[in-house]
Amino acid sequence: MKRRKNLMWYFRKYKFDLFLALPGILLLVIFYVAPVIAVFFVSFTRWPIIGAPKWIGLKNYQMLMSDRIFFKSLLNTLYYAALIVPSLTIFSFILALILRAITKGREFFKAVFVFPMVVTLVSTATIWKGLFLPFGPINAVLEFLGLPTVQFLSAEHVKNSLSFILIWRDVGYFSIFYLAGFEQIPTEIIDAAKVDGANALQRFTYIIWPMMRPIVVLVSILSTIGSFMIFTLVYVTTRGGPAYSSEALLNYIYDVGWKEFRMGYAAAAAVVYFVILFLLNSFQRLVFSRE
Amino acid sequence: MFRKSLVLLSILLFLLTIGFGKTLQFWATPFVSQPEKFFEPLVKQFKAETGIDVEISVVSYADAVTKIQAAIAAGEAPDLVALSEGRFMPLVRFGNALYELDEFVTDDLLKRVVRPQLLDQYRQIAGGKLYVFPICFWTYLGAINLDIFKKAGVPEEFIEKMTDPNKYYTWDDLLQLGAMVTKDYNGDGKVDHWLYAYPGGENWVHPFLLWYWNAGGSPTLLDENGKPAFNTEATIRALKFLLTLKEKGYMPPGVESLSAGDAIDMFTSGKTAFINNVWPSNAFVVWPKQFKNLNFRLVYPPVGPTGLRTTYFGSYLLAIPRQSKMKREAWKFIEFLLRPESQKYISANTYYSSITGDVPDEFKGDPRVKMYMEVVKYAIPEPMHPAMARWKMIYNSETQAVLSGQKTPEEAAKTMQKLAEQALEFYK
Repeated sequence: MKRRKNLMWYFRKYKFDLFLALPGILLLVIFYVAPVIAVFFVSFTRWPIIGAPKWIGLKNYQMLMSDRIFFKSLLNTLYYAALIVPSLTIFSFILALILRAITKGREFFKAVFVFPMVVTLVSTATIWKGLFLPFGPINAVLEFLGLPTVQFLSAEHVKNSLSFILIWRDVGYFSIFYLAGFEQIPTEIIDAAKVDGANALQRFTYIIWPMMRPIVVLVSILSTIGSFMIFTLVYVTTRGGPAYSSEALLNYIYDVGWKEFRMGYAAAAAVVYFVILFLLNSFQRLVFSRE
Repeated sequence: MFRKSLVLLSILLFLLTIGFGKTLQFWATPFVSQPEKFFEPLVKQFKAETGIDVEISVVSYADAVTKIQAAIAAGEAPDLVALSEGRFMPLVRFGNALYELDEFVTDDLLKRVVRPQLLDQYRQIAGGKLYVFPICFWTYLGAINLDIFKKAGVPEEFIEKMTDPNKYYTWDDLLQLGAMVTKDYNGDGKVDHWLYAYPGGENWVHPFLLWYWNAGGSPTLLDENGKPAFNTEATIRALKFLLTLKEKGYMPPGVESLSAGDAIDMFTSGKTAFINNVWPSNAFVVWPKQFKNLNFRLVYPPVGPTGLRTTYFGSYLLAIPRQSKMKREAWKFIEFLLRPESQKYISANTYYSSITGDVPDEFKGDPRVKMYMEVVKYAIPEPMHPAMARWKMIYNSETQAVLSGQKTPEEAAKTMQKLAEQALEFYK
């Protein structure tokens, strides 16, 4: 009779391994799991940070459902994700293809494209804010060329402008992921395809793309999380304005919690944010695994 | 030998009990460009007299409450914090985080305060207890760029109306002025100078309130029933006026996303002719030093449509967190800052008004100082409601919505009211 492998069986078999991993597990529980559980708990309370939290049940969630600014910031965040994720996935792939084709000075160009990622986002945001000002250098150049000037930080354009900064910053970084992926493709397969008469498009469609799919999944998941974490960029450049046009969900959570002393309400918004991000990532994994 | 050691030990213990060797943690907001440098001579003098050192950490106005709140939550509050009228009430309201100063304040000190009604206001809003003490205060004046005025051919009488305390100018005059100064000066066919840059992208307390109060808005932002007073004639008038300035092109493009710094830069770089939030340190210290070519003149605030002349009143308030283990020492430092010689030093180096009226002699004849003191009569202190942080975001965002063409002034006023009332639910 086959012995049933329950939790205790695994525990007995791997107890030494578990013992060795215990410090790491403890740190994970203290710094990751416990705060997440705490956020769930706080979301059912009224807590101005100082003093004890007061249990109020689902009231924060009820208020959230009629909070116009919460929904606006949620929509803005989804807009950022919808623009940033495909752009980053595609452009970094294209950049990787270009970098791959470069034979001389590839390392130099790789360093150039990764450089924006090395600079802190606060500095990047401050510089771009200066460039985007109504009388900033970009508009000065447009004016010099006789082109109409653009209000990059106006309600109409601000989300696109901020998305552009994030894409510009991350495109080189993600292209390195793809380049690493390309290295994994055996050259023999490509060569064999060439011998069989496959053209560049066919080689891309039937060999490169399927073999690069795990990297595409990784890049799309990382860029989705990255686009949801647009906080710093919004905080430094627009603080969510004009009129909440650029407010991202994380900025709203920060403002409500830390500026308005409504930590319970901020926690409720954070729980919703967590659920959305979790669902979105699960969906992405599902789509790619089906493919 | 044993006796000598005992004597030395007693002296050491005595010095420790009277404060020698202690260090106060003071979180200062940047009311001057380098607060730590500014306080240095005062701290040195204080240390020499009391043996207590003061370690200054600068926290920005925007993050002051957040950082103090986090420090209190972590049980590591500083001994002394600098706040403003709009920032101290949440700390009092939630968790009773500030210590009552009434036990320290003596009658002698109260007699020396030139605006005792201020202390009454702080007490009134906080249930009869005093949690903050001002060390200096300031008001805002306007300023005009005389070079632009000259190029635009603005008549001298106009300048007189703006600078003579017995004369006045109105919002209509500002519109007239807008038509005169907003021009293409370099001849490339595009307007390159404007009347005024509203810092629409900034989440400061005052930019909207300066116009709201001028239009007859409630000084406390509350009506007689204690409800928020946003869906009012004053709000609509203020928003309509700002919108008119924008639509007529008297404000530069993109004002809805301009930060306060950007708006001030527009004036100091000679692109706008008028600004309405000039605090003394800018007028007396920073601008003359940094912008030597800026030919500006201070002007009084305009008279609004209801005949009111108003401006903003801010003060540098010091508070002692309840968690501090050196409350008495912290108060000693506040007292030290309120001495006549410290007050003179503060005034001389910031041009802010002394809370005890002790100012350097050279100030007494300065007409610009007189102008600042003149407007104190009708200057309105920052509203002190605990919901101020939320309300500030609400009225600034709705003003942005009007300036970016997303809402009419009436719609924005209604939304302000609705959101401000909703916010009260939490701050009840």
